Amino acid sequence: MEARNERIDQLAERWLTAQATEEEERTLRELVRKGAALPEAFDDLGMLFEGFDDLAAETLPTERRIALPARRPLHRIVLSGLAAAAAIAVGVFSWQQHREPYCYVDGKAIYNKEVALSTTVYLDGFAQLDDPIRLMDRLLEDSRP
Amino acid sequence: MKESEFTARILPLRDRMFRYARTLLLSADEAEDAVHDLLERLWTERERLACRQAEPFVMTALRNRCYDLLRRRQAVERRNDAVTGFSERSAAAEAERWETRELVRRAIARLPSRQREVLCLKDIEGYPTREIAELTACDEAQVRVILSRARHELREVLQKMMNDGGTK
Repeated sequence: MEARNERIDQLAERWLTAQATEEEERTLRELVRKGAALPEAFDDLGMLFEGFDDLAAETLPTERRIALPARRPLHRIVLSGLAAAAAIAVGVFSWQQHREPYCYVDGKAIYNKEVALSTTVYLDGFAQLDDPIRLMDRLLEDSRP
Repeated sequence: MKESEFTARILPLRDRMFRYARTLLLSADEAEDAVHDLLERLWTERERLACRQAEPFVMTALRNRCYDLLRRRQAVERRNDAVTGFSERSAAAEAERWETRELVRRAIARLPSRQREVLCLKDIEGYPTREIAELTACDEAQVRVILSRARHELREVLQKMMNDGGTK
């Protein structure tokens, strides 16, 4: 018993000065565990270790456990994607149906604004000439050798 | 970090986080709030969390959050309240185990914050000295000095409490 108390005393001294190894600390905790017959001088150490163990077992109160957002099921993710794709397709289709052409050239609808403007400007300039077909014929005749 | 990794690596730390926050804040309710808030924040930013070193990162983030709270709410006053609160609660004769735990908790509450923190990390959470040094931003020798002082002081406080019948 005397030897055991001496051992506890040595280990307690090392533990108090933060020099004890993990093995020594484990041994000390075992020796002063509650229930073991100990001199009164070590009562406080036994209480300390018991208190540490109890505090280490504390948990976050259960009634306020963290509730993280649930993961979305895969089929809902797929359905959402399909719905979005369908909405985009309908939008594009209706836009195509409702847009007006800028003009018609030889019965063909021209949707491109730049093409439409350049074509009509060219035709406007040509129309301003006096009898353009006859003028063209004369030019051809003049150019013959 | 993926959702599954978050669940496997971060969520299991919540009890440890709670105990650490409680030791720093000396208030179970505030510790719960701090842990809850931090976990929510980490959850929303989990994509930016690295898998490696997740635990030290989380504990450091919690520590910073607790110290922010302490700075804002005048820690010294609350610490005194926590210590004096012991006399009222211990008057009710509750289970012996509960008393031991509360007695040690109140004794720890009397320590200066730095000693309290290091003692909690070492003697309650079981962190190695090296990791405590990293968490608390000091070297291992300093940790040992702080820990030694904390243990000596804690023993004295506890002996005094036991001699006084746990009324002071």
